[in-house]
Amino acid sequence: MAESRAIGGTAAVGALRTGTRQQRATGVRGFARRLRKARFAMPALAIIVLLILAALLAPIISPFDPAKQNFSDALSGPSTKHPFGADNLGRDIFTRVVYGARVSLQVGLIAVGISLIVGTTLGLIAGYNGSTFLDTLIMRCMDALLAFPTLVLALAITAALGPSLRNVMIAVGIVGIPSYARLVRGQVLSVAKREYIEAARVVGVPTPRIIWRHILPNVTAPLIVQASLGVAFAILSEASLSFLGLGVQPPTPSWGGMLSFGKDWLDRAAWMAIAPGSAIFITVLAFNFLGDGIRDALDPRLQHR
Amino acid sequence: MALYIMRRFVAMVPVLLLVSVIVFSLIHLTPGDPATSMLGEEATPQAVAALRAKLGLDQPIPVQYVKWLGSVLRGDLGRSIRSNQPVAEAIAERLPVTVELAILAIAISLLIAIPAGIVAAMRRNSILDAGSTFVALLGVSLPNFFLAILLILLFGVKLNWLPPFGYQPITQGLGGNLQRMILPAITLGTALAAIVTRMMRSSLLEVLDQDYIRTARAKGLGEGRMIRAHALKNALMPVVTIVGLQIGGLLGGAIITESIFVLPGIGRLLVDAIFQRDFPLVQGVVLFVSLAFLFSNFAVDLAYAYLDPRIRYS
Repeated sequence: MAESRAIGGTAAVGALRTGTRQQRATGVRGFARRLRKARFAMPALAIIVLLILAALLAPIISPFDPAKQNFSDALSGPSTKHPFGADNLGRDIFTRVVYGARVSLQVGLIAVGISLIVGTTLGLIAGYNGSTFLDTLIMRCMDALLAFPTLVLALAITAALGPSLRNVMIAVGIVGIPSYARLVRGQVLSVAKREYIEAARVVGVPTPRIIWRHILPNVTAPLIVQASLGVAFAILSEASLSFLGLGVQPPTPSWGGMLSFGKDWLDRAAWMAIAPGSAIFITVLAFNFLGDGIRDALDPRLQHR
Repeated sequence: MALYIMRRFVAMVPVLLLVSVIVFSLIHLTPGDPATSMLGEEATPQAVAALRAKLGLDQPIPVQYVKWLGSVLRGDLGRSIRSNQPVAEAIAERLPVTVELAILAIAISLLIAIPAGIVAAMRRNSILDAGSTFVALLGVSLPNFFLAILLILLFGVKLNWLPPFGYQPITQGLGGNLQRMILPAITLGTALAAIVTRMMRSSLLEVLDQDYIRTARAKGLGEGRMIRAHALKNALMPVVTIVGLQIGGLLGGAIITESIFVLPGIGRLLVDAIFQRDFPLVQGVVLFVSLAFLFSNFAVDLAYAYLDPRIRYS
């Protein structure tokens, strides 16, 4: 320290010191520290934790049944009894927003799970067999899926399968597959040429083991980023489909569906639309910020760009 | 250039074929018999059999595909099973509304985003810059259907300035048409404006770092004139690309926007067709939209190759 000051304490030396500090802060602790410093990542994480808790504890948080109609309270505005107001059937909107979080998070996680597992598998197969017929076939299929605007493809799939929570998860999951497949293939192509993979192959390590033990860990970091941003995309897609009436069917409360109902009552009960709309907005924003934060924390070189 | 266009087009053919396979398969993804699914459970067996024969569903699937592809290549997308109108005609009728909506949305987004991006780049790290970044992030995360509802609530219900729903053709007066198109166009253009603002800022910052800009500054050119005469044109290239690549997103967004504002465009046509289980119409619209998307990306590629010859030879 004293020596470096003696040299002059220039910016270059400062940068060198910072570099050493960053290098030391590797592993989970380093990641957590960088994530804490990333812009808006912590408030975003807090919102997501709160949402998960709300979804899990929905029956405890709210005294009401999300589907129970109570016409004496119909269209009543926000009050202590109904903090977010009540809808045209007298159902408590706060309760329905809380139960709606279950649907949104469920779709977010399961749809991303489908995209992640199928996309990663296809990407690994394509990348490991780089430039063969199999690789070309898989990647052209992915290109074809990418040739549809995402919402159009999701709509088309739910149209064919029929509207339901399960089919929304399948449709949104399929729409997400190509981006994971492309990402993983690209990473595998660059990793598979490395010497230690060659070495593993030469000593006769079976292919599945090479992929599982040596290639997959290299792909994890970008996948985590993609998946956290993917949850935001999936929640938004589910809300869009439910808004159009092709997603989760009533009386199950979903934010998109509630918003769609609310739009017909804008002149008399705007709260019917504002509460679920804000819930979608805040949740999507939180997952986007968290995804950005994780990206910065996993790859410190990207910070301050 | 001709060679480049040919090469790019040939590369697109397998994707086009796969797209056609996906669109064709939609009808066969339906659980159970597609004809029953389209007509509903209460349809008579005779009606179901008649529809099966009409759509050729009684033939082997590969034969059905080849026949379907043959008609598509001749521009025949079949007929709606509800209105019996040719699908291509239904699309052509609705297309002008969607095109107008998309053009207005792009115009609004550029009117906001280009000045905002320039200001953010010129006043880098100022409050204005941070503000535009923040607003752009909000714009990307705000779901368009929620934005639409907020706009209807403010301008249609509370202030009563604009009609909240409905459509009036341009032929019945431009004023009335624009009054009804402005809210949908803002709804559709906001996310694009957010993306373009970020792109404009970063690409202008990159250009401002170049030697020729330093030369322009050194010879005493004012900031405004320098941006207009030297920096803007080069900085706009990536912006044009990003707008071109967002056309798919615009088409998806148009579905929601048209549904909320009750505009008779392609998106509304698709949603109505889905609700009526009118599969030939669904297939036709989905195919049309994906082709429009593919060819707009193709056009962006060509424009880029034309503007930057290095791409053609790489």
